[in-house]
Amino acid sequence: MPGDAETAAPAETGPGKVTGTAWLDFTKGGGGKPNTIDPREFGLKGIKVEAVKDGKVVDSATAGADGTFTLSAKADGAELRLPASNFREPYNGVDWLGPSLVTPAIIGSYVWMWAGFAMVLIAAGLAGLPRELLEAARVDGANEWQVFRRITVPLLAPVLAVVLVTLMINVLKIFDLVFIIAPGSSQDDANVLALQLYRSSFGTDADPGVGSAIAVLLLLLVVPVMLFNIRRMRKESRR
Amino acid sequence: MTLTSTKPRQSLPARIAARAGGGAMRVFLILVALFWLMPTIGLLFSSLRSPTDIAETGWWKVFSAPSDLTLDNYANLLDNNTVVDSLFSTIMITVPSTVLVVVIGSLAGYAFAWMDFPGRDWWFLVVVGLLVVPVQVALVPVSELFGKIGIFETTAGVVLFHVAFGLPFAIFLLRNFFAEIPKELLEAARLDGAGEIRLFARVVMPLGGPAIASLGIFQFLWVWNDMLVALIFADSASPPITVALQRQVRQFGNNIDILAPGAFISMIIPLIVFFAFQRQFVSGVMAGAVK
Repeated sequence: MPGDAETAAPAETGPGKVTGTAWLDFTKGGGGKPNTIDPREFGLKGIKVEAVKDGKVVDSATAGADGTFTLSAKADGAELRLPASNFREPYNGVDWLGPSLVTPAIIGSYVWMWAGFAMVLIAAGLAGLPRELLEAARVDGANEWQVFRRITVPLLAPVLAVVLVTLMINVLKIFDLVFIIAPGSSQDDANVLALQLYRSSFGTDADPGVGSAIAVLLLLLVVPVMLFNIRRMRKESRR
Repeated sequence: MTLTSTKPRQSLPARIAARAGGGAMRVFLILVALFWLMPTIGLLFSSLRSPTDIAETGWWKVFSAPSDLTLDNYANLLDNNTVVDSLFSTIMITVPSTVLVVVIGSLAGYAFAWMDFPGRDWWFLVVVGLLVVPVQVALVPVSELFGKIGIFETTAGVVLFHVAFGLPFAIFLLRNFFAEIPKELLEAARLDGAGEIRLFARVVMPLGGPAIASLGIFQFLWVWNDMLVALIFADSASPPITVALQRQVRQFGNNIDILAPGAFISMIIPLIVFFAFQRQFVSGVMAGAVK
């Protein structure tokens, strides 16, 4: 409801025009009657009304502050409808869950969720680094940045690779965050493979074939990681 | 093991802080930690405020009016059968899944590490390959299969699914951890006449404590926080907490007074489990991951 909405009023009738009221037939707190304009019910200001005859829009009008609208005589006998565009109007302002920001919002929550996991793994890796190498570099006059860049990061590379690969696979499979964070209206904008799989196989888009195809695609996407892991294991067992 | 260092045990932030010369670094780290905790703190405070307060102002208002805090939401929640039942079904799913994975995983890990059987290394490569297979791959066929054998939408089905997908990681982690146990220990026990079962129970299990604990935590958290599997395989009449909470999410106007305390309770239980095993966790988490 816009802040400047007025209580709904019955429209005045007149010759040569079709009039009506578009109002929210709902009294806050209860007590309203369906299909009558009760005292505390508001007009739907600015809503678009279309008159449709034989499948064509013959006239359209916009409701005033009290919800009344007037159509020309052309609309006589036509069916009135509220076109879908009324309900698609983008929210003005910062809407974290709107179409444009919902993906960054999900990314933000994902980073928040998994940063701790990555930190624990990397911290454990750091604790296992040989101190002597770091000390030796410092004795040789390397500054902290050089020690970090030339000693710590290369020594930590296996851990970083494990963290990177683990998180990449996790992100590939991401489902619950998107499913919960994105409201119905922006779910399409936030859609990911796993969510579409769920919607196709078990949800509203009922099409198990598409769902299974997505599952196969997901499997194909992780095959390189699988091979990488297997090669690493074989190398290790040979040692 | 890579992590047994000879230095005195000190927490990592403390060591970094000590190295950076204290002061500024310490303040910075505390700020980062606070920033990271912010959503959790917000959730806690939101769960302690009345629905009207939540609708009107942000949770940070508690600092100016701490007297507004109330436990009503929690009282309502515990009266609410749906939430209590869903917590119960979460536990009914999580505990058996975790126990089964730990038991089967450690037995299999021992076999892969210390027993000889034909094709052992190849089987292990299969396990390694299965590590990264996404659960999504199995959803459609397994749901049909479960439907045919009559365990679709039952706790047993969910547990079976979680155990199946938890095992590759469990076997991988424990096999690598067990493989690093010094050979001499096992040989000594063998010489003393211990059979495989005795060897497993008396030598390998006690030494594998950290790895088993961290596996237990991992598995517990995964199953506890899982929603996708629960959404599809769990009984929709008494869903686990994740699904029950998800149903409370509304596009316009959330049931924050149910969501916030529910989410907080569902967070605090794994946290208790985590802190109970935390000592072992950090040392066990790297097991097998890095050599």
